[in-house]
Amino acid sequence: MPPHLVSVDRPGPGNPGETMPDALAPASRPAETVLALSHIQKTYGSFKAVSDVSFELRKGEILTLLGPSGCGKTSTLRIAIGLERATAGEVRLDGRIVDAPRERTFLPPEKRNMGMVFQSYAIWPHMSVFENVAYPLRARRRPAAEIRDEVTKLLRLVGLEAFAERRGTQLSGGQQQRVAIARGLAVGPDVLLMDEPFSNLDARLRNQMRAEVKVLQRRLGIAVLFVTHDQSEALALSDRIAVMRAGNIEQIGSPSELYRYPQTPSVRDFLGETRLLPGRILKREPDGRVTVELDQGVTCVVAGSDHTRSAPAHTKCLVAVRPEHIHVEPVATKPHVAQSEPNALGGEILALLFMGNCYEASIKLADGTAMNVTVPPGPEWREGGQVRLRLSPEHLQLWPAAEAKA
Amino acid sequence: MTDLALPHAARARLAPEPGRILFWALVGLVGFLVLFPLVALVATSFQVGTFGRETTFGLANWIEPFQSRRLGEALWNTLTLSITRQAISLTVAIGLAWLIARTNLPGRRWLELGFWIALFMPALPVTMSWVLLAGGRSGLINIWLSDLLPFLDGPVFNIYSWWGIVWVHLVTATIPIKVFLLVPAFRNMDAALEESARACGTGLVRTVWKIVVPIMTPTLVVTALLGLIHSMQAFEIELILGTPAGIDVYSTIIYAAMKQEPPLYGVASVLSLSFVAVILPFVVLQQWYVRRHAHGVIGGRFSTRIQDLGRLRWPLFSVVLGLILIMTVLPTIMLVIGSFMKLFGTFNMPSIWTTRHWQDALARSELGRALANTLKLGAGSALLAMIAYSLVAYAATRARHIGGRLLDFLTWMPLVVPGIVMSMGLLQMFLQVGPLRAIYGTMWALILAVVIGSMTMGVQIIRGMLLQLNAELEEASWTSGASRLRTFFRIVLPLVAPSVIVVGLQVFATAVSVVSIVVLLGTGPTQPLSILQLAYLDSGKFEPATIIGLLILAIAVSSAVLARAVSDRFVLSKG
Repeated sequence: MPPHLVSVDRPGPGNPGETMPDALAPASRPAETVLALSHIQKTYGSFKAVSDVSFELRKGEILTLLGPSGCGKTSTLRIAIGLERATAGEVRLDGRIVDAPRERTFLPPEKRNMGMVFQSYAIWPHMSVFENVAYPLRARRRPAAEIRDEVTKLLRLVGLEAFAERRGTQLSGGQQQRVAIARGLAVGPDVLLMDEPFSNLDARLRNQMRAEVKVLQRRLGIAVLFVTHDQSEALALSDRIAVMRAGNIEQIGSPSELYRYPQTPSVRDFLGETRLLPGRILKREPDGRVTVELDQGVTCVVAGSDHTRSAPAHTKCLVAVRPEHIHVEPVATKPHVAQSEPNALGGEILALLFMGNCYEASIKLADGTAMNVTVPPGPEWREGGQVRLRLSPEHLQLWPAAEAKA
Repeated sequence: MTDLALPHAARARLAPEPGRILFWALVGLVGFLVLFPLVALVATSFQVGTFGRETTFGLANWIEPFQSRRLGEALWNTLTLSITRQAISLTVAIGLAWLIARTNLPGRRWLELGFWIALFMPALPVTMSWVLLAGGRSGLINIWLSDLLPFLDGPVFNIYSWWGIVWVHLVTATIPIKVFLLVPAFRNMDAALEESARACGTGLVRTVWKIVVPIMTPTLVVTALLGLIHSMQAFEIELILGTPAGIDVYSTIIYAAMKQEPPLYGVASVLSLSFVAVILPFVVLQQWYVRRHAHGVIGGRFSTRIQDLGRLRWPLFSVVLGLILIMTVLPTIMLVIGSFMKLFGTFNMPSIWTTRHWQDALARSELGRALANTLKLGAGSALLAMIAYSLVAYAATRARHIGGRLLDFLTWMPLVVPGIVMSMGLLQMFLQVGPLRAIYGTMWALILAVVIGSMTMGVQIIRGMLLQLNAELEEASWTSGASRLRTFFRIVLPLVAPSVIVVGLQVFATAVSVVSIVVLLGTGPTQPLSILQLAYLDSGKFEPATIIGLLILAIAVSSAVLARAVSDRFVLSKG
């Protein structure tokens, strides 16, 4: 991230490892584990796709594997269902070992009671919608009458009962998506796996499908393992998120936990936006507050999480803030006076971008760098106008300056 | 369908545990069928003595043929004839493919269909029609020319010659197969490259030679090498046109050794093995080249706007149409004429025409029997090929371990082994392996030979289709709880069915007209039309041979047209 960008944070406990009670978390916390992956590794030749991944999927929750492409999230998902075999580690489904290379145990995907929704939907073009959904039941040799009832019920569930006789290829993207979900649910699986299921839909439809899937999941109480690279999708949909990078899980927790208390720079940057301000530690207070001298020439008190492992004074550091926590106010004159005030930066509006419900302001800071901040719509903003940016200490986090980018 | 030469970048995602035992059984079976004929040839090559009597093991067979000057000449002829044909046909086919794929040539889709039909014109009947037209002094063209220009001395065009062989090859499969392979490649080329050249003031012909050809070089090299490999294996045309002129090629001297009384199996085996050794370097070169250049060949979604030919549009159309008519309609007419002639190819008699040959042929039982055999052979081969090729293509595509590559390698073997050699090897296999002896003399021997012979083409076409299928379609079936076998029959097979049917029809057309690979197997009661025709030709009975030729032509061309219709309707519309 470019050094000229700044950021804020919400008030929270100083020690980041702790979790706060969370409104979005499922009510039954110690729910039973449906699917457990422990120390999973996957190598292709000399390439390590998954280095060491462990997590548990609990009954009735949506757990999302989130990360950039190539981070090993899809490999992990495919190992969970058995489309790939792990190189090392163990997969348990309902307590039963289904993949353990050391014990030479492997249960192929067709024998695991799991449903999967593929990125391409994988709707078979030579079959009708009805036949697509009926396929898993036919493969299990259920009686014809039962299949008819079950498929009708499933199609009603996803709102496609009128399309039963259509071919899969005659449906729109969103409808194909629903067929794929109905098919994934057909055998009443313990777990539904979804591999980037919304990435082929347009933005409006994607939002609608997210809501539908969550409502459906809540209604059925099924456990869902979800894979995406889209952070807003992960935040909106998940009960818990596991952020992956380079074949490892960086952090796992509820969306608000991850958003508010990221443990690593990559989690911080991947979820939501962050502005970073470079500086140098001045002194540490006994109550945990840290005073930083920013490169902008002002001092700044940080009361949020400290990720510098209590680095001593004069150490270079970064102050991180979420853009929504930067409070911008117009000022009449050039901010000579304001310079002395702590936790306040002077700047000039270079350009205003009208976004409908707000403005996005591109602000030039004292040292000449630019930063984008959103401000509420109003007549007080004008291009070329002087502003002051206030950063409240509780919303600021302290990070070490030398960040390993990789 | 260009996949014959171009392996796709296969998707890495593959199946978990395949049915290993089934898989290795398949590898073993395919390996046995394509490799054992060669092993049998090696064994036979060391048997010295007359066939049918006491034989001993020795090296005599390996010494004798190499002392003969005939072998050296045959090798020289094989190479020079092949290279000449490839050089000419490639040049012509580049122009034709470009005209069809990239320009506003009138009726280009129909012209493409014309080349497709030409591709399936059976070699023997077409050769006979050219004998009628240019067979020495009595050839129709030569008679006309000498009437027109009485000062000419002797025939102008003699089909029984080195250039005669080249010509008949060019107008049968050699040019059409290249058009067929190059048109899709030209379609995928970015039109902007041509347009910028035209915008710089370069003329049409210069644009093709300076821009189009260099870009297409990888495709052209692969096509040329494949063509060379096929050319060297050619048999029937050389046998009919080369033998009277004293021009031997490798395949015909093997045939000659086999047809001696008693047959020189040992010598023929040695010749066959050394023939494989001559062809092998070209196959290795072709595979090596494909592996190195595969990525440059397949185009993305580019602009495919077409070139305006301007005033040249209709003249070029007439040239292309003329070529197609020479390849398809002219031979057909000549065969019809030939079948009504009292004495085949003799136009300077007082009364030329008769319907006697048709009456004779229809009255004769052997024609009916051969026709039945041909249909049995065609249908049997097509059915077996469709099942076997799809299984093999599926196993080779989806098995990620070393076995997948091994299986793929095995399917390329029939390309290396010339038809006449494979025929020889299969004959030896049937004679030497006890349990297989029961197959010899039945229709199954011929069916097996045809299915092995067309394996490379058929498997590669289905494989190309499989590689285009999204792997998730199969995975969705497994995660739905279906077994591998159920997935193959319920999901994979229906999805590739159109390609499989096209392959089946192509195999049918091949089986109807094929000569080289069955020539040593189809005797007596199992003799199909093509071999009966060759027998008539061998014994100088040209008139009934013409009638058989017409029958073969009709069957082969109708299945080719049917294949085209299926692929246009189902395969191409999918993309």
